[in-house]
Amino acid sequence: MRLFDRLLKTIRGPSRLSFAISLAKSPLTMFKIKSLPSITGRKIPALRIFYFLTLALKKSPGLFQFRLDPTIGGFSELTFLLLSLDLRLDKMRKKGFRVVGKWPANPTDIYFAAGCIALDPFLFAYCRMIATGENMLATRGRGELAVDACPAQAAGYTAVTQGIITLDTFYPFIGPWCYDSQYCFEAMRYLVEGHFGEQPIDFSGKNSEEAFSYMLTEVKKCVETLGRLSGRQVTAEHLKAEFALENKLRGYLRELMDLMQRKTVPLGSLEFIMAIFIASDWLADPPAMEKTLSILVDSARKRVSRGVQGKGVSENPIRLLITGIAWGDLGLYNIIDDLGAVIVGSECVQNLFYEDISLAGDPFEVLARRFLEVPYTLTAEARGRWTVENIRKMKYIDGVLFNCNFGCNYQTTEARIVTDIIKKETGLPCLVTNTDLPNEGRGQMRTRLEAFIEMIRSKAKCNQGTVAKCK
Amino acid sequence: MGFNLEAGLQQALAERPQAISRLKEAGRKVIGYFCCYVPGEIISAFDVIPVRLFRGGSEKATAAGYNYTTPHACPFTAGCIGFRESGEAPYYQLVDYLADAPVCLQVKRMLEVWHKYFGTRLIQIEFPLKYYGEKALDRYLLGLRSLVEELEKITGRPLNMEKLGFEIDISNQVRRHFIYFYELLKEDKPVIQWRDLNRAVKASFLLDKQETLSILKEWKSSLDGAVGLGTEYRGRILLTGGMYAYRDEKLNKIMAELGGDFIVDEICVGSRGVWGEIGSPDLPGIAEKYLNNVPCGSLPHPDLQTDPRIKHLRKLFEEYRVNGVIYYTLRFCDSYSFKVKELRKILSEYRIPLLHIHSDYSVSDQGQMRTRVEAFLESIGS
Repeated sequence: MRLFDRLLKTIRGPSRLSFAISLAKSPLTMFKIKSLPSITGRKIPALRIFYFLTLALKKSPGLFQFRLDPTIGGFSELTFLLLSLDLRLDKMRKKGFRVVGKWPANPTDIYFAAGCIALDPFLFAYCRMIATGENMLATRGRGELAVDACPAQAAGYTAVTQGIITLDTFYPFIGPWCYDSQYCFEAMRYLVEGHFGEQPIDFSGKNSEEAFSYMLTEVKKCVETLGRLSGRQVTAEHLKAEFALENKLRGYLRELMDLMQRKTVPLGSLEFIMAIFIASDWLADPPAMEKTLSILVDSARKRVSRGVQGKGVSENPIRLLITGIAWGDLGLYNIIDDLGAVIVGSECVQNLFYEDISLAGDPFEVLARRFLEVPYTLTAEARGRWTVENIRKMKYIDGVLFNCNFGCNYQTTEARIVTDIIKKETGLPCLVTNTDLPNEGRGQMRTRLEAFIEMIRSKAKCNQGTVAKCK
Repeated sequence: MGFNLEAGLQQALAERPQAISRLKEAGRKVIGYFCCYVPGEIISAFDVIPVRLFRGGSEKATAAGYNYTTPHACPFTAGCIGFRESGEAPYYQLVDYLADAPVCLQVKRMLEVWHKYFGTRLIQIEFPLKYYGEKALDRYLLGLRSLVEELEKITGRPLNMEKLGFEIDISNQVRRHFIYFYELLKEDKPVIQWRDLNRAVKASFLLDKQETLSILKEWKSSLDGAVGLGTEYRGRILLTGGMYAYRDEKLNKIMAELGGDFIVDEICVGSRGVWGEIGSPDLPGIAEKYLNNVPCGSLPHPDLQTDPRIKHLRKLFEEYRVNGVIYYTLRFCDSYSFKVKELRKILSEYRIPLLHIHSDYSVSDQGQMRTRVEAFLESIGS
């Protein structure tokens, strides 16, 4: 209850009693918030979540500029997990958990199985900027790193160096994607003692066994180091148990993406992206996220079966897949919906949940293979082909967006190759966009998106077909 | 004296593309590479011509390259694509293959662009990003062996160890000469200019090694008796940072106009590309030398205390009595620009000021750059 008490103390203005009464009458009670299990072993009561949100939302004015649909089951819990991340991390560290910095591509299984908390500081910091509605973390980080640093990197750097979040160590697997992250962690080395694992680059087919053997050594070394940090003698069973839990989570995300491709689109673009993006790293607590996603996916399933479209989704929307890095400016997702389209898939996070990690065989070997197979770590050509395969599996898709974050060295060099392959293989129109800090350049983006969507719609009319034709 | 290095290099460089074309007509192959972790000795041992592609400084080529990336890519890598497309730089048209050890990952993706859009065949050399790890040497050796295999396929003949030994010997001689010239810069009144030395280093990546050696020998003998009789530099400034490409003359020009020059460098198209000799004349010997080079900033190291690049920089500060550092980075080069703050901290221990120039190949920042460099030189002088 310590967190609860702390929050209670922060209330200013009305007396606690009258505040509690006003909360009880609040429409938020309609959202049927559920209590959540936690990695710490202690339950997070629904009341605490509810109470936290009523306070935290006051400190998150950034969220109010978006049109969000909080009536989706699980969305309040997800928002709680997001907004309470720093507080929860503090609490976890006090309980003896060790927080390890990783980067987005690295599967979290290895960290949690070793008894540590995996944290992507970049995602956290970016979400913080969105919630607060100001970009100070990124602008400050850019002042320290480089003016053209990726906003997520810059914000993550500030969050760590300013002590907003504390890392006990960093242990990312450096390799062929998200190059900026490795340099960003390196820039923190004066503050945090860290390690790098390595994911071999581009071994040709004939060297793949060497690549695998090297990857296996790196995986084992990482597990050993993290085990020493957490005090856990990590066994194959620990890994398998983590795979099983996270497979469940991956399954939910896959199902959510699948549900988005039904005739009835259950979530608006923003709710969908928030769910799969924020959830993809499990926000430091896989058990809590498992429950959250189960509620969310169940809610989406019900909407599909009842034919209830997501809030803001138009009648016959243009369905778009977003590839590259998803837009960090959440306002754009509302704009997409307003323009009569909807985002029904994201290639970026799909890298993390595209398939389960096998429970058969030696888990260290399985994990090593997984690291080597993540599509983003392949060549641009292979990544393009993988995306095409996924598009072919999609039921409805009308166009593809490829977004590059300003300063992202990786996506910028792949955009042309990947989109050329998509255009050639599927005939779908592609639009490459460049975005930077949240709330910036939205007007220009709106114009480009409007033209793109209009083009798709008129093409469909010319062909006397309907948009979102079943492939 | 009497030897004009600049004229000698200019003439050799002007003739080189035609010379390569003639050799190509006679059946020789050309392999281009971007990074100094590609051992040219192995390529030459197969009678294949290695050419380092490291031209920059062209706004036009960079803009052409952006058609294949986005405008938010490193201008050097975009330029390398642009030069290939536009035909502006002859070497870029002459290469039959690209061989590279992708240390900088933007370069790695650039190779993919060349392969996809220009049909250039790639030879990728394994290089351990964890170059300090236990298995690093094995992995790099694996890469070198695959390079040998590819060359054997291309030329249809096996690696001749005697020829390899010969090539290594020539390269070592070239390196020894460069080390000699860098040693000269340690003098209070160096007899040579760093910018001349850097011109020679850059030329050595394009010219035939024997030709380079004969130019260097001439230069060295022209200095006989003059050592120590040079002039004092306007500040003893170290140049470090990312790619300082061939024909990227903006900073050099400004320094020359202001009467300044660098005293030493820590860049891959400078000392880092030519220092150190190969010990045993075989693949392990080559692997050891290249792996133990002062590491490229694109190779992250988790520990500040043991980072060999930082150790090397500290050594340079002392040996060259450096009193100022210019840190040059190109836009979107995170590997180097993210390290500036840390280096500034280290330099404060020595009370050495640092000027960070973060630029691209446009001319728009020339005036501003000049003002900053001028102020920096003045502050060092005062």
